[in-house]
Amino acid sequence: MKNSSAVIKRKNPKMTASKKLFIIIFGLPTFLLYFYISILPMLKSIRTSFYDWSGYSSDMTFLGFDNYKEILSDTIFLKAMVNDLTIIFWKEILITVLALLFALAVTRFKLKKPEVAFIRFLFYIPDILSIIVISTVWLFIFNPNVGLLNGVLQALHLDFLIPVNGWLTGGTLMPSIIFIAVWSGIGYFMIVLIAAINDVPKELYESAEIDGAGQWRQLIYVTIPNIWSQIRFVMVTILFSSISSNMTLIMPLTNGGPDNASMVMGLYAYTVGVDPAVSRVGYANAAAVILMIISFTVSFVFNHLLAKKDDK
Amino acid sequence: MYRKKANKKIGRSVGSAFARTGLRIFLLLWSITILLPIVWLVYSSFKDNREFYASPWTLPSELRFENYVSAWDSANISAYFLNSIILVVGTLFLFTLLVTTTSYILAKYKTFFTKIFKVFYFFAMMIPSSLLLVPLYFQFYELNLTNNLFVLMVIYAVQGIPLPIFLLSEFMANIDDAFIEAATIDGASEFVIFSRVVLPFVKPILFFLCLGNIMGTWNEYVTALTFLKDEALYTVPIGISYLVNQMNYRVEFGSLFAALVMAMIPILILYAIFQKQILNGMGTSDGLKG
Repeated sequence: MKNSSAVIKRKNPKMTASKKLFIIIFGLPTFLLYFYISILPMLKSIRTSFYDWSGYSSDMTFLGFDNYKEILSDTIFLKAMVNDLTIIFWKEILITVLALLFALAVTRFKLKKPEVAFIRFLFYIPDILSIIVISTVWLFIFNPNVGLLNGVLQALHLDFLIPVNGWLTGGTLMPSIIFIAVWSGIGYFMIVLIAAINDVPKELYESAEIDGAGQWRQLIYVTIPNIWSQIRFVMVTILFSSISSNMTLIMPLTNGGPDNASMVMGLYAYTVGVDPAVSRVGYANAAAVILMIISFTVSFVFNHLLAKKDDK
Repeated sequence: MYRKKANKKIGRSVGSAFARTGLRIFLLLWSITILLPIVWLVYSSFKDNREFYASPWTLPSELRFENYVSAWDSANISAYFLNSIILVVGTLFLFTLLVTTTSYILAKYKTFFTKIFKVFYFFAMMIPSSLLLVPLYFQFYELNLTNNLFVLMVIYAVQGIPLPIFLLSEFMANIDDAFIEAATIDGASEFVIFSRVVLPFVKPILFFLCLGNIMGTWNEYVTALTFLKDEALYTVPIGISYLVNQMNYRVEFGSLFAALVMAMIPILILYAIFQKQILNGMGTSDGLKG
């Protein structure tokens, strides 16, 4: 502390009282607000996860690790964990591959200018729409009575593809959800990868071409190594954001149903906490704490693994 | 040898033409999955229930604008719009104030506290706010402040600041100190330097961050759903989910679709006008450059 202030004095001799006041005015209220809105709830969720607490009263009973033990043997939570992992697995593969493909199409495939402009404009649209608009529209597309999908399939005489009990149930439930998650999740990553590919120096491609490398080899030996850090960003961001985005997508779509078949962990923790019929806030917070630990650890490990590959 | 090379080149260009055609077909199919739902939503919003049940994908027999009138008036979308606009304006004001001020001191004042703040906001970027919704809700429930647009405004403005602070302070740090020193010699106060010298330099990125904030607030669903229980305070997304839930009792597909179209329009207009700023800003928002 003494050292650092000495350095500052040398660097910036006019660190006057008014400047210090200025820093406090500009920084402290924001920090306190952020602490109150984001850090305090996190600390509270950790503390209350050791209690039996309804949230609506001040009665709290200390339980130790009982909430944690119960949540890890809760069949709905375990089912939700499997669902989360399934969705994340397919999102990782499909979003990364499709975002890269679309970015390559825009930058490297020598499509016509209007085509490129059209793709860039259109493919980003699912990202700017509200999740409630997206889910309601897809609910109607999948609707068994008035839905667009069944109507189109009937018009094409492909009736045999229509599931008898509807799309958002049984064997078509998870694939439908995964499709919507991928569909609505590509835009941003495509834009990031387009920017990354455009930043690769043109000379690298020229010299690769002189060496006789075709488009495919240019992709493997020039494009991908040069945008590896952005691909890593895409994969880690999908992993990190999915616990939340799975919850916000499924809540308006199926709300975890039918019969918890599409339940995900974030939604379960939310429902158990907020639903007045259940209202086990301590239990919900134990689930949330487990989720935070999982997503921090997995992202950290994943980032580390991909970084190692980068060094080779 | 020469011939062999020429052949190989022909083979390659045929192959890539083939690949390009395949790619075009795939891109076209993917475009349809985005365009068709939107187009379907728009033209279906002019249908009546009988037409919906008769055939889900045919065009309406006439343009029933009364669906829009009924959504706007009797389904109360006008009130939801007003709430959403109040929320967007208030959040934007607070967000801009908080982000610009903190970014500035993080970028240009290297003191013990600003360094701590910097590390703090960097790690805060990783906090998944949707998992903190339950404790946050009960934190405000104790104060009896859950049914409150102003509280929601503060939550929106504050929760989203770490990444914008990270990006904006990077841009501010790149401003040449000579400009600031010159202004100081001219006798400008700290606040004048901030508002007249620093902010104009970061206008493009700040504008992008504000657009993102507007769209995010307009679209936000889960937090608003948790906090707002009073129908008079509903925002557009909550209003829509309310209409969808009501469908179990009384189905008016046309006006529900009209409501969805109206919820989309402001965002699509904003996107169409500022597409360049949004896409360019998004391209650099991974923070991996420089």
